[in-house]
Amino acid sequence: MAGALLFLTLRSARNALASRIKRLRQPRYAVGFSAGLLYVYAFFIRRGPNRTGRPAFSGFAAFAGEYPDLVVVIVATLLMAIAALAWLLPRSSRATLKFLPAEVQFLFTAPIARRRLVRYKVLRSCVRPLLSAAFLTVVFHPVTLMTAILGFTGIALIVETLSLYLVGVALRRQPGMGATLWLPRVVAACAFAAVAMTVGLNWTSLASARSEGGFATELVRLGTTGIAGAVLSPFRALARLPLAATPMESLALAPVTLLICALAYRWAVSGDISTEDAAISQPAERATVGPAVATDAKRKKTPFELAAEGRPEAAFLWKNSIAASRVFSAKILLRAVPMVLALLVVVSVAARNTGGTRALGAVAMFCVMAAGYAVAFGPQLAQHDLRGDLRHLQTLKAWPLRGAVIVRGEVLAPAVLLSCFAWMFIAGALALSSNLQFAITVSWPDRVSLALAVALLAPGLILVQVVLHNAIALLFPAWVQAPNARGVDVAGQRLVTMAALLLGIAVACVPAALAAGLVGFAIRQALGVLPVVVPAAVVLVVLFIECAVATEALGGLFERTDIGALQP
Amino acid sequence: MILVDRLSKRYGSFQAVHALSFIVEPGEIVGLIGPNGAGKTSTLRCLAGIHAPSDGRVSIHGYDIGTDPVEAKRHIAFMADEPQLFEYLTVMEHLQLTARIYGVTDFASRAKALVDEFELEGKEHSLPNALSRGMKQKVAIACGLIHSPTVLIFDEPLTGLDPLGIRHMKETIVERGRAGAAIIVSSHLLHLVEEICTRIVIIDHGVKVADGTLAELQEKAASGLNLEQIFLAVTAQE
Repeated sequence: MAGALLFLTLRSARNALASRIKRLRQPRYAVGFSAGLLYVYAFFIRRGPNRTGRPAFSGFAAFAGEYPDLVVVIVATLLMAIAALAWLLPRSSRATLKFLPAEVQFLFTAPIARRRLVRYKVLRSCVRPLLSAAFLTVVFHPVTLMTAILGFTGIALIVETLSLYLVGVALRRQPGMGATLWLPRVVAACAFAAVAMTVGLNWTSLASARSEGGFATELVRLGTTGIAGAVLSPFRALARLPLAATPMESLALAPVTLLICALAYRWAVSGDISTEDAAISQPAERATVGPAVATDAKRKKTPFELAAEGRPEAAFLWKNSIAASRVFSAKILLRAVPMVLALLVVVSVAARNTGGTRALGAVAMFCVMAAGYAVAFGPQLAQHDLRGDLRHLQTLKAWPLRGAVIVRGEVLAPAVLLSCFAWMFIAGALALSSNLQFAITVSWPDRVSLALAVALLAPGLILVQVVLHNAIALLFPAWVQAPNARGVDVAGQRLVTMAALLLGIAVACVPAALAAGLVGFAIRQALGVLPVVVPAAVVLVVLFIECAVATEALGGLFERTDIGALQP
Repeated sequence: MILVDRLSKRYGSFQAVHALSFIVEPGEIVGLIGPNGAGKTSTLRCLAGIHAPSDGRVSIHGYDIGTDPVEAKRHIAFMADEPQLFEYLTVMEHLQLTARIYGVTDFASRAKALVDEFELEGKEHSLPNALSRGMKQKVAIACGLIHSPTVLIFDEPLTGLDPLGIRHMKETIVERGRAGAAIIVSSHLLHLVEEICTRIVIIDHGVKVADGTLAELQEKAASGLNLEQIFLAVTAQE
């Protein structure tokens, strides 16, 4: 049986590689592959000095060389946090070990022991961490072949151990497996609390460190002594291997690391798999499992009531707003808590330098960053528009609507939602702006005026980006349709689209900036003052006009788009 | 009425449909059958305005689907072989959205009737991932019917339905036909076509090879043959 599973794995890998090579004959993949290769070469392989005279990522290597113990403590803390949160955060709704529909159909019905099936999937899950380790090794630019081998081995063992551990946790957290989960959860919470409290209680001594070296020494002391030191000790053992300076040191550290990795493997494969849980990742099986996985939206209200009559665009806004609101479940928000906390800590440290009231200053800076994030990255992430609806192209094309109406309707939801987010954070930043210290004194009326100007610019910039993303989706639907695809060619395709997006934004902003400049100049000449709100409003109007024109053009493109173009 | 006049559809160098012509009058239920890859789905997608024809013309109640697609589509309901529902909309929200798109003002009463007709009671607030394949098929068809279309295009309508669902679906199609709708049903289930269709069009390699009532087809082939035997004979599969 092992031979059959090995055959399946190797033959699948061989055929996947062959088909990837074969598809390079298509121009879109050839272009993507070339761009991807160029990127990998330019940023990771080329060893020539950059403008600072040092190879890329040499900063981290230098830092790790100067403070190896600090890096070990930081990496160990991160590993501990991931390990603990795996027990504490809500379980992912995805199946534990992702089985392909064919695997469910062939392997679940075959005379294969479940234990063997678990081993097969666990072993297959080990391949991706190896690739990640190779990538990270290249990123960190080892100086010699020996350091490359040592670095790769160390990183690979860390990533593999972590991956195996997470698989083990996931297997034990499956619903209906009858496992008692309170003990590991208590242990995880205690470990997490011990490290957090150690840092919290010693925050004053850390913050008062007068030099970089003093801060590092204090942090290392905290991470290697007392309760936190004990909690972090296995994680430090793992983290030390990639930083070994010589082969002898590496050999000395390897047995402990290998032992930890072997224990993680043993633990992972000793878990059992719920075939039901694996099967519900398959749409066809999901319904048969019934109430256990049924998703009912009974208690969730729609963002607004859809009137029976009116412009069709409103129906798209309604539909996509519902989709967006249902993606943000309480579980997802809970998972984001550690990230928000970490961000707040970073912002709080940064806010020390602003001289404002520390806590409120931190919140104000957080609002500024969040508003900037919503404008700059929101349109990339909020894909409840044509990007998400391309798989429904057949349905959309059968509706009695002009293409331009569909495109306009589709882009509305992300634009409106992101604008609301941006406005909320701009308002927050304005309300707390007295806690921020500016390089020059800015009066309240000026702050309000600036905030209004930014609030006017935000929707325009967001809408332009959303329209551009949708244009790319229509121009290259197959590229957008494969969000989980990987490979150099896919990375290259994303680079090409990113470059096109940046170019598009620049082109869209030129007329708006010119118009705003002209209006601003005229007002300045006439009144002697320049209220920034007026040019911002001009930018907004010009960007809206451009988007309206663009959606008309995209409507024609939508009507000509063939559903066959969605095939990757 | 559906008028298909010398319809052709090419994908690159591949000719999926070639100079296909037929008419579906109001009240007619036409069965479109053919072997795998014969061009049935391409034809149906051209009729629904999803694909633009490479050549020829499709007219729905006098509106050309190529030059006046919006008006033509107002009268059409296209039920695809694979129901594609929006992941985050409930059953009722699907009906509401479709009603708004087609400008149906008395949504509530029509939705209630369709929920009853397709036995979707209790599932109104379920999301698609909580529905079986057959349930999704019913939702897609209910959405198609909410604007009382006069042209119905079904691509494999019985796939995934249970025996009771199949019986109801057949009744639905026949009732809509009796009410005056022009209906095209594409299916590999020849007994379904034989049972509910008033006329049959057989295509092979994108070309029409037979067109007529079952009696007419039997007359042309040999009396006593059933549809399966006729189909195999005209598509030269036996």
